[in-house]
Amino acid sequence: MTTSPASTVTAPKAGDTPLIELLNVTKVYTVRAGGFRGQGRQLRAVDGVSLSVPAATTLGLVGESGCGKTTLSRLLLRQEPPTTGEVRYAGKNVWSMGRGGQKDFHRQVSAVFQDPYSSLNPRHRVREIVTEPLMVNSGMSRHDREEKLQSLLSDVGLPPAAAGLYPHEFSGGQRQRIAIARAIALNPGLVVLDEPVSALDVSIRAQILNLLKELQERHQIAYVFIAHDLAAVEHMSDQMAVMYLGALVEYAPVEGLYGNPLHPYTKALLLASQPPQPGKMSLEAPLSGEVPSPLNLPSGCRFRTRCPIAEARCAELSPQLREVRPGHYVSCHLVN
Amino acid sequence: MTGYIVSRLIQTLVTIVGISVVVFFLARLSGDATALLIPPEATAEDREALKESLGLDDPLPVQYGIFVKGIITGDFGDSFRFGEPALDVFLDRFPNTLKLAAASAVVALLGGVSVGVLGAIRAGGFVDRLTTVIALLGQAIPSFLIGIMLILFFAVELRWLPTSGMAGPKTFIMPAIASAWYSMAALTRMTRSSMLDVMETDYIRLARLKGVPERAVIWKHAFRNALVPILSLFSLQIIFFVSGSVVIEQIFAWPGIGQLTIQAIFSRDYPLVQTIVFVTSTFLVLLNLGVDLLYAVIDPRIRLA
Amino acid sequence: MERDNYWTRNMRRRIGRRGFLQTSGVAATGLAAAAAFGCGSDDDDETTTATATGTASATGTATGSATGTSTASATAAKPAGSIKVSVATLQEQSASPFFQTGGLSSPIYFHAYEGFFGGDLAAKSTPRLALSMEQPEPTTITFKLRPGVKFWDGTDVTAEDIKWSFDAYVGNNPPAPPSAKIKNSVTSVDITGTDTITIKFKTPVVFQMEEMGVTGVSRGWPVSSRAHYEKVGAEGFKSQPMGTGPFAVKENKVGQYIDLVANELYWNKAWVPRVQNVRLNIVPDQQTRIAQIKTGEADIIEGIIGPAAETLKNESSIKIVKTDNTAQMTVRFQDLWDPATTSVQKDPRFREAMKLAVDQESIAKNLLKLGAPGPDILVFPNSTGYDANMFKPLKRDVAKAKDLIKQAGAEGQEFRLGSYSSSSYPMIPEIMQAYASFWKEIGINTKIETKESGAYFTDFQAKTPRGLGPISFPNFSNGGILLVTYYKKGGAYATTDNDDEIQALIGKLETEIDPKAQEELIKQGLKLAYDKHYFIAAPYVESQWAISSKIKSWERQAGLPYVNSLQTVTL
Repeated sequence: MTTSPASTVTAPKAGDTPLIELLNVTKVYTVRAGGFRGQGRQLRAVDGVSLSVPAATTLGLVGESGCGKTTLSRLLLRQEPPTTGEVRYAGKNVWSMGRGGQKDFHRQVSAVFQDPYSSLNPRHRVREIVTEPLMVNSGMSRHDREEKLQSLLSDVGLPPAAAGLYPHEFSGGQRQRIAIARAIALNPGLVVLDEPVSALDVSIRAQILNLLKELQERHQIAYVFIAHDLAAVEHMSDQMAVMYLGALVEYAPVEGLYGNPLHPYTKALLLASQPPQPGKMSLEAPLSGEVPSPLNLPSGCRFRTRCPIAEARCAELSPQLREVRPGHYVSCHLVN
Repeated sequence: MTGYIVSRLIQTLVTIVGISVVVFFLARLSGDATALLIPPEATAEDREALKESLGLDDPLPVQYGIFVKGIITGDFGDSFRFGEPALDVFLDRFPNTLKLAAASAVVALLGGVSVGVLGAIRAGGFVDRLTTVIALLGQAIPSFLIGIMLILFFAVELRWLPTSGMAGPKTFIMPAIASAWYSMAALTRMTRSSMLDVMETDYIRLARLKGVPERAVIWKHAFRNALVPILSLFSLQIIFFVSGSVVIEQIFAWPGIGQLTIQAIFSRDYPLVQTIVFVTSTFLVLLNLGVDLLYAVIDPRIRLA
Repeated sequence: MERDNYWTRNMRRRIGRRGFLQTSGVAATGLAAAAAFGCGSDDDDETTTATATGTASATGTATGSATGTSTASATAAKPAGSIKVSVATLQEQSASPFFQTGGLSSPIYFHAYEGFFGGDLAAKSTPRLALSMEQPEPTTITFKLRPGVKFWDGTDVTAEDIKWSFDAYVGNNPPAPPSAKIKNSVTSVDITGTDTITIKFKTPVVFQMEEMGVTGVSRGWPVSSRAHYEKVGAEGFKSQPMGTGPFAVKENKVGQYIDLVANELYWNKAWVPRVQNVRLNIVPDQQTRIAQIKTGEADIIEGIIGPAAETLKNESSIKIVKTDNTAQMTVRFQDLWDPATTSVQKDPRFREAMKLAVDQESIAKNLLKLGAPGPDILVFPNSTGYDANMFKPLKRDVAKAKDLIKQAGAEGQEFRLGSYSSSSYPMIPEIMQAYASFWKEIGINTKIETKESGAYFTDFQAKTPRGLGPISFPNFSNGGILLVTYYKKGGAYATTDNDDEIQALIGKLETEIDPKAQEELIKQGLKLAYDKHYFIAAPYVESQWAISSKIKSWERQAGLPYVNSLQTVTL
């Protein structure tokens, strides 16, 4: 684990206009419970989340599976509208942009997903995959596109010949390089990295992470790096956000979070990931007890059912995210 | 790729040999041919003479050998019933079946795919539910009923189309729809679910994220990837079209091989049964080979396998 | 399988399914017998049968005496107009006169070709190409030829053509199934004068008259033109045949249709068609045929069964016409095939009880939608020897039946009951269900066993099944042939094999020459079978056609289930 590079640590809603921000965003799904009368039940996948990502920085987003990370990434990518709250890109609500704004958004935001197998169209050659964003969003000539393709391939460390091949002719790591080449093709301001290395062999992960880091520095890209593995995120991030059951429980600069975690959930996650013992890599069972159903959230603090230090008031009052140190936010009654 | 083709060719050859064996013995399962060819009062000598003249007194392996020799030389023997070379009798009808099969295949594929895609992109909506109901009905209503309903509506009520027979493009419409009906319903369902599967994948998400127009997302990304299961189902359906639907041919007085097959089986016309089944099956096996090779072109993953 | 073997291969195939006429040796004319017994198949396919709207025909008497061309009607308008007829099937649809297979190819044969004699509308034998015949000795018949008969192309029919046609018919490759009988029974065919042909037979020929076309609707051999054959060649002849019938073959599209065109040169002016063009379309499905008559794509459709006819009743422009008594179905006691059987079926009381248990009236009315049940015997009202008073159907009497069952000691017994689907006789499976429940009422159980018709007939002919089994037959009027075929020991479908009384009577019949005495014997034989309760017979069924209002009139031959006599159609 290297120390994070010294980019400016920004507190939420502070500093320059952030590239992308979530303002008190909530996403509620209506789930039809079995049976014909099935009164729809409300699933709060994301619950009152506010975040912001300044240009050329990385926000690490960590949480167990089912905590709302994926929904959050869909919200960030404008693939789903929030139920309440706002998603803003460069200060503009992404759901009330005009056509030009949308086009701009397509150009400025892209993503790399976890599974390099399902994220590349198996019937398309690398050339088509990587240049499709260029074809759709830029008026580049064929020749220019080819040139750009070659420079992208060299950027991500693939040989020029890769352009004519199909995805199945590559290994997982190489495929992820292709996915990255596609993601940066339009020189985006933001790339959402949704668990970009968790499907890869451990030996390759560092290469891909270093590549991402390098590309960020070269192209000044902001990342939202979603992971369940704290170790990978520390290496990459400037800011960290920890999610539990749809809500942020702790939000801090990376040194603050790793050096002095405040929320009991964050502590438990760190405990589970830090000693690099075999079998402890994942968060399969870092905590005792089951994650409660998001359909039936506990009263008060949503973490209290698994919290080692929970008290009576935790069941009554829902804690708010508050700034306990400069830039360090936590939502726990018991933290001072 | 070459290895793939060679192995498929060998498989095909083995299958054809298998077919010849099955066809030969299956034909003989329909009963004693001579029983229907000779009157009950005939003496035992008469029966033996008849068997000899038909070549049915030879041991089965010898009869089979003659059959195989016939396949190679293109002489399938003479039909007991028509008195003409069985191959000629068959080839007289087979093009009619193929023409109808082609028309049916086009109807089934175009209808099934377009309705299925429509259902998938409007998943959960009214159009989707409507197409689901139609697809279910398609699989529940027997094709003869569809045929009769088509006749009553388009021929009797509206007088737009002739009731039956094979003469000109107009006469293809109703039989093609009726025989495509079931397949169309199956293809609709398959297209819908296969499309839905593909639409869930990340590359579709990414394509949309990059602002690829929806039409391109559906046809260029989703449909091409949804195509393989659709095509495998379709190639199975073709078997039904090509082997000739007895029911459709009966209703629409279509001079194809479906009716001919049933008549040949009932009259225990071994040479004709053998010819029909062998040539049709071989045709289908070769068609299947063609489809497999086509897959290899469509799906780059198979090409290397 | 060489082509040479066709002869043997085909020779009896179709006949086998149906009755195969015993060629017993009796020298007699047999002319009294008027048979409507085509050698054709009928059970294979859908049958509808013609009712006789038959007025007595224009042709001459059925005896050997000549009636000649004098019968020709005077006014013959030029044929005009066209009709389309939808038939269920034409079987081996061949335009060649020498490959006419019978039964379901009748619509071709009856319109295009002729032999020495043929049936008139009443199904009585009448001279056609012959003017008369003589039988100087039991194995010889001499036919005197009708003068002035012309082929479609206007050339004269000569004695040479007739002899050549015989050779061509029996030597055809493949052979027409009915030709086998003629080939096997004929020793020689000779031209014995400019207008006489003499045929010598291997055996005395009373029942072979059938084969010579002298009785009923049967055919003899079809006559064609040698000169024409030599002109167009063997292959050309198949598509451009030549004949003498009231219609000429214009085009034959196998599996689809056959086009006929009026032959204005037909020798019998009364039968020169009124209609110029006829197309016989093959439309296997009844529903489609019905749709066709509604749309006007057909003017005549055959094979309208029961409920389907009801749907046409409301159509003002469509008329249903019928031919009565085209088929009958009887249930046989099959245990009787075993001479050593100890089955209760040997007991006439049991057989009578089984007859009495069945409610024939209900079957006629409710199942078949017909008027009344027929006699409990295999016979048709137009058969020689039929007598309405002699063969009255038994009234249902459950009490008496139960009593007889008790007397016979058959209570609680169980029998196999065969079943199959026939095209000539509708609803056999349903009728067997009904029979089974009637018998259950009198304490007899049955187990129904259904088979595909080919297999069913094969078993029946082999006489292997035991228990009970139905079998249906198309109408035929020759009572003598009926008796010999269906009652004689060893006969194809006979179940009276072991009844010595009936066998003795048949023996007598086969050597009786006098037609009057023959008729008496036939009557006695049928009466014996009736009194001994050998058959449980379901009602006669009728054949129905639908005709459009375009057709003013159409007369059909009695008892014939196939499309026939289209030359009588007037528009």
